[in-house]
Amino acid sequence: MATSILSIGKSALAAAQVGISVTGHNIANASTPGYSRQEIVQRAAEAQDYGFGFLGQGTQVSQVKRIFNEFTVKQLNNAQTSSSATNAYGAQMRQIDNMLADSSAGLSPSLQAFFSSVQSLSSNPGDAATRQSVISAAQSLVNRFQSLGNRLDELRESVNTELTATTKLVTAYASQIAQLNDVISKTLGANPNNVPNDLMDQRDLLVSEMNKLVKTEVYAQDDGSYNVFVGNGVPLVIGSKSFGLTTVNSSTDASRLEVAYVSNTTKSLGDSSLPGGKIGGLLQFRSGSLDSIQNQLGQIATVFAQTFNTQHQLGFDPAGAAGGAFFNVPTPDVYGDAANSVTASLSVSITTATAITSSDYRVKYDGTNYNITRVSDGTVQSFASLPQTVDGLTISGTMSSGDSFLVQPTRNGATSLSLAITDISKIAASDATGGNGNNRNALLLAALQNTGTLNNSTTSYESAFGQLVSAVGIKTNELRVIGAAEEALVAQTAATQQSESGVNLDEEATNLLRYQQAYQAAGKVMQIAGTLFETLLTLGH
Amino acid sequence: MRISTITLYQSGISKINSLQAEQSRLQQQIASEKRILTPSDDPLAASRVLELSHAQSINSMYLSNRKIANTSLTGLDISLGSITELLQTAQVTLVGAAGTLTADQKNTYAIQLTAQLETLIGLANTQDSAGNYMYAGYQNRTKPFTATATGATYNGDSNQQLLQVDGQRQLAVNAPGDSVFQAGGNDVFSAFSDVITILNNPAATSAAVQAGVATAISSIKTATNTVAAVWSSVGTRLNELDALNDVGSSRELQYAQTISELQDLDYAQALSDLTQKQTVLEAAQKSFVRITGLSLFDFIR
Repeated sequence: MATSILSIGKSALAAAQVGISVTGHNIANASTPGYSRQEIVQRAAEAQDYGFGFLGQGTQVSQVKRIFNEFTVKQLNNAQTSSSATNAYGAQMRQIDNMLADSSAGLSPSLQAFFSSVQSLSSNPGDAATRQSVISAAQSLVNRFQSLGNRLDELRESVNTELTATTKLVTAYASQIAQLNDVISKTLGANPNNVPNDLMDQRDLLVSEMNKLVKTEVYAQDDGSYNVFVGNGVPLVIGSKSFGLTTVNSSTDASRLEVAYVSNTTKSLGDSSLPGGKIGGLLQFRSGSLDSIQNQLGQIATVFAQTFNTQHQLGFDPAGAAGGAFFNVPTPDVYGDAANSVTASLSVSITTATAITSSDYRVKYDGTNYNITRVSDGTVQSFASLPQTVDGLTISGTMSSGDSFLVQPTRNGATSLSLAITDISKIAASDATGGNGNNRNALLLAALQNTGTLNNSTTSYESAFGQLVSAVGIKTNELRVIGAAEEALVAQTAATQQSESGVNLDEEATNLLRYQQAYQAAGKVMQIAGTLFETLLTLGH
Repeated sequence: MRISTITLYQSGISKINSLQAEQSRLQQQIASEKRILTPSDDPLAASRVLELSHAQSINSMYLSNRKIANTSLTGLDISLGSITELLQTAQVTLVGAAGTLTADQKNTYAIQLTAQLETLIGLANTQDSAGNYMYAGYQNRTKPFTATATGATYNGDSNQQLLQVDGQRQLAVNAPGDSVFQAGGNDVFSAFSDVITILNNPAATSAAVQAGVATAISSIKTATNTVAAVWSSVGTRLNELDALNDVGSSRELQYAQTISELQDLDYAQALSDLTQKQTVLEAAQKSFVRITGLSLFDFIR
């Protein structure tokens, strides 16, 4: 009996020690990211039948359990992935918003200064200094267009860089998850009760980090491993095997990197198949905002250059020669699909600047029809032959069945605008009558500022820019509001998740006291068992 | 409910962070005197401000055009005044020459009228401060009138130089010489020249001289009326400029006011907000320290 009491005491002592050690582990990891608090599962040891009844044999620790709720973690991940996407989108938009915020850096001051100089020209058409100021103001307007366009190009480049870095990170996470899958499934295979809690925490942390980059879905398997899918069901981890994401050049647009899936082959994934996370946010920013902003700015530059040229060419310079082009008008960019036949070619020119839109176009030949799609609203126009004129653009070329082209009429409009004349005597301020004071064409040029030119002669340069600014403002504002709401949801879900799995130090302090007391009590039990044994030994004396 | 220790710290920090962000935003607003720091703060107001400042800049462009127009027209006004005065003097001279004249008297009048003609040609060739001829139409670098034996020839053209002085208003700022001095076939220079030729001709009969003087009087009278009409139209245009300036400056005031209403900061509100935020921030910091300072471990001895 006494030995049994001693071993009962010993089992209690051991259990209390495990309790103290788990508590210590919790305290040590109170601020470890992804850590779930652990507790011991203790149960009474199997009792022995002594004839008069069952006698307890002390206690035993059956398991060290992590407190983990799959459901709240899933909720947290869902909230987190949209919040990350909105944050990434918002961060990019804020840069454009800030760029346009500075009233001295926007387009308006340069545009106004340029037209002021043209007004001055109308009041003093023969004056050399006045003419020089028109050229200078035109140059600074061109510079402003270019610098705004370059800034947007930089953002486009930074999207490419970030996509590359982010896909690398996702691939690295996937391979780490696969390794952990391997270890975890082997451990559980050896003994299903020996749950490797800390490894599982690490794996869940990797999933949540990956989920910040791209929407991640996890399917737990019977052997304890995770199958991980990103975006709309792209498998990245299957058991102990992992695949990756990478970036590839778009087949239609060399300036654009697309996210691709790497398994046996590398296959580009469409923007829409990767929602959520930083990647989703960046892709959404690029296709939803950056493209249209850059196109709209380019449209203003292109239409401005073209309409100003048209009027300038109606005038005459001081020598009586007809006016030439004042600006070099940007030309549309055409990208052939990488899979096109070798003879495929397409050329696009702007015929009526006032009719062009800020949209991109897709030209596809199906063997019978040339289908021209306006990307912004998906409108398709079909023609049996080329050349054709669509939205102010004349499209001509040779295509075989299956060939396709992407046309960006205004994407580089702002960056490729330049000044065509630098000689002040080439400014055509007068009409055919001539004369030093003849300002007729200067008046007409100045009047362009308030004339509807863009979008079928309905919108002036200035108000088109105003619309652009307000569209950027509205989008940035919207993202800020949505972002704040999503962040609040993340914080709230995280608090819920933490309230279950997080470590509370006061609680651990209580546990510490509890196990300390249990340890002391167990010691007392052993001491008493010892005293009992002593009593037996002294009997013989 | 259990609260994990991390949550305790995180929620405390994030509240303090967001309060600091709000404070820094207020600080930026106060420093820039603007309510709208970026278009996204109030997209509609931001684009409205853009529109208004565009209108403002155009308004001030018209204002500067009106100043230029005013300078030109004032120059024209003064010059036309001198011309009128000269033509009236010439009429008085000619009225004096209307009777029977001796050869000496004829000579004296001829000399007087010749001097007046030269002055008139000089006035018709007046240049503005930029060196442009006022009565030359578009040919303002070419001297518009050259004296000849029979008066003067016109080298300019009939074009009026227009300036955009308001959104829908272009105003002529010059007066082509042909319409001032040679209007309707009545050439004032020939009128002078003709009468001078007769006065200088000793063989001319008294009747011929008197007829010549009468023709000159009538012709110069007509010319005076033409000049007066041009002069008064210049005066009308100057008045119109004044009126447009009044409209322009009230418009400017209105734009400035609306822009200020849209984007300027309500200082009293902003400063009171700042104070309030400071109080809240202080409270958040103090309570954070209090809450995180409480630990059961402190009581385990």
